[in-house]
Amino acid sequence: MQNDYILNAFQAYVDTIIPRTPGLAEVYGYIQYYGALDLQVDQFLLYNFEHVSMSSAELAALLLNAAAVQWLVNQGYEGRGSLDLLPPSDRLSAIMLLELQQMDPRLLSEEFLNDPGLMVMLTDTLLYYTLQGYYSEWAGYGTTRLNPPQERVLEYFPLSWEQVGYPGPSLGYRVLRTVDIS
Amino acid sequence: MNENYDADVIVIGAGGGGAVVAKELAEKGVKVLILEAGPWYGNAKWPNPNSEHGADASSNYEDLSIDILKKCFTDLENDMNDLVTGKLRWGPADRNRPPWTRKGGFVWQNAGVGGTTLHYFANSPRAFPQAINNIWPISYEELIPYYERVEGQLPVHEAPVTPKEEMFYYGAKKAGWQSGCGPNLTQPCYRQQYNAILEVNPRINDPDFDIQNNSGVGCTLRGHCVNGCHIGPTVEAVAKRSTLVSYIPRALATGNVQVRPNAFVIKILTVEDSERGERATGVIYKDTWTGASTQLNAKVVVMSAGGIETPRLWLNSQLPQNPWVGKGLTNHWFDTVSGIFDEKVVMDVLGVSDIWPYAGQNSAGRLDIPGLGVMITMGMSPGIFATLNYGTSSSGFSSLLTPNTEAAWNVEGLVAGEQLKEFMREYRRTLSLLLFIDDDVSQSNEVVLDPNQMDEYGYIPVIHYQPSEQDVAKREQIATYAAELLRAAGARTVTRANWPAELFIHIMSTMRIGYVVDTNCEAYQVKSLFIADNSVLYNGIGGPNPTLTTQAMATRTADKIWDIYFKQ
Repeated sequence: MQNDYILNAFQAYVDTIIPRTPGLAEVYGYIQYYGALDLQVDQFLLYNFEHVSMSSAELAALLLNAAAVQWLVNQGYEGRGSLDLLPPSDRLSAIMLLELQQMDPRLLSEEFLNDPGLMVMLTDTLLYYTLQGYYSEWAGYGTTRLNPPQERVLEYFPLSWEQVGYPGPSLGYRVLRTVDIS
Repeated sequence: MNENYDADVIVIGAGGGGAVVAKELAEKGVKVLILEAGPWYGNAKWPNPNSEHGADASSNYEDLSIDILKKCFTDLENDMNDLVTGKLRWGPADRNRPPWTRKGGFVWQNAGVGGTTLHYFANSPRAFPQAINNIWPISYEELIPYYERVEGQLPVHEAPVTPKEEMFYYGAKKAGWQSGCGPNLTQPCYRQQYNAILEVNPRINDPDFDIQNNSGVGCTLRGHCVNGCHIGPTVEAVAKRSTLVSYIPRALATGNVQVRPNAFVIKILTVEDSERGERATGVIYKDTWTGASTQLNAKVVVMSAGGIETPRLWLNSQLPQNPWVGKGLTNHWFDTVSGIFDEKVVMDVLGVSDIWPYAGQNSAGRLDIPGLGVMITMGMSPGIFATLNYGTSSSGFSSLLTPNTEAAWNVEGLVAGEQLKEFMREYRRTLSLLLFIDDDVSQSNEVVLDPNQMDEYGYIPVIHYQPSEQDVAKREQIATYAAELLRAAGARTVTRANWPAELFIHIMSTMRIGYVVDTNCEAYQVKSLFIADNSVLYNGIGGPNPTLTTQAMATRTADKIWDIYFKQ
């Protein structure tokens, strides 16, 4: 399967979980505009899904698109669909069908029917990777971010850390308090 | 030592339990060989532990290298803790190879010398006496001298107070909870953690203290317990007392211990003894880099591979059937509840603008409620923080749920979209509480082998865990208490994650004392085979973090092994 198919699904997913937010930017400053697509978190998903013992990037993408089809069916539509072709405002509702395991098994490929835990595992993992990819230091690896882990070098201070006010790793903080709690 | 043996005792796993039993036996003169599946960080024989095989073994204290440890432990949360590629994952040293597979949920464990204590918070409370007395086959009083030995050895201290704990204690007091209690807890009580972290460097608040070039001893409140601590002038003086820096150095110093990392044990060897029945004689392990198999023989074998791998190894070794092998899993079924505070409130209570979840020890305050469970403060770097507070739930996305106006929290479930960014923007003024309950033992909660899927070390483990109705009620209750505490402290927005049951952190009681092992922790059905890890606990010890109790039990088991097999 083409990486494009997988990346389209992953891009639609990460953009739903951590979108660009012009509204927040207006209130709190421009740094708050950027979202998961700006940090290419879809590539983090692809890398990690491809580096487990049973590569599951394709299955995860199939699952996301099956959720889109399920959502369309639930709205009374028929036919084919994919997460990236749903309007952004409806994508979270489609993903919710996975979170709540409200999928019609007939819309799922064979792998999911043979392994009842697979959908739960992939659904949990998609979100875990998205939050890790965005809020950890990963994006700061810049041009080395898709290298093998031993060959990554921190090139930038991650934009997401700026958004949340995390100063980055430290050797110590002068924050000891003297409080009698007894 | 008998010349047919490779060691007097082989210990499988250099984690929270194995390192303890090894050090205690070695100090009595017993020759011990530890086999550890993961890498060794901070040893001159493995200057690049993730990219080169390095040596086969180390038995010399002088091999320990703080410089290598500092190079390996980068403080970066993805580099250290990513479940797929992290240095502290459950997988082989070679990070280009995939992690080891388990089915049935996420298991947050580390492979490596130190085991899961590499990233644990170092919380070291004792069990609740009421969860032991008249329930376990040994009494709480019998455990006390072993607790004291471990507490002295690690050592265990009262944790320091930083802004996040001060806010927690303020809320606990306002919510009506009592403080002022000793280590043997019988009543609800909030208190500073007893943890295995060296006391704070006494100069930490001194503006002239040079944090960047600090070569002193003591915690510096930098918030990287979970990402692997390396603060200290030598490996043995590192602030957070994982067994990598506490029991392993002491074990090496005896001259009686050899540790082989990158050695995954795949089989326990036994013989049928006409007088005593089946007895363990050794193990077969595979080198995780080369795949080469090696057989080793010893008088005694100790399984310390953890709550999942110990039963897995028993089953893959086709040791005798026992209806409780792998059964009775407890896991404390965790949850998180967090409060976001306005700056003015933080200023009024603490006199500073922020709670700073990333500053101070990852978890330094707790409220224990015997009969129900525990809540602890939890401050983390932003990736792990976002995942545990907003990205782990069985409720689905909060924005799509009908708000529950009866609940003590404003928001339940996964947080996504603009709301996630809005909440994360207030990360610095968020106080998170990690909750865990005293969950019931049930024989249907288990670790079994997948009947079909194997990896290079045998059939892979599958976990089944379903909380009881009582567990559900307990967790709702403690989540409500947590939300009320945060409200009492003045939180504006309180969120509750509602974690699914399939996330495993405190994996306990899968090889229970009294069922699989006798009161000496020797297997009923296989003589000379002992167990020293979380799996021998009879239950979830009432809710407290299990490591100290496992280490007390491992100390006791070492004494028993000595008495039965080596004392002249």
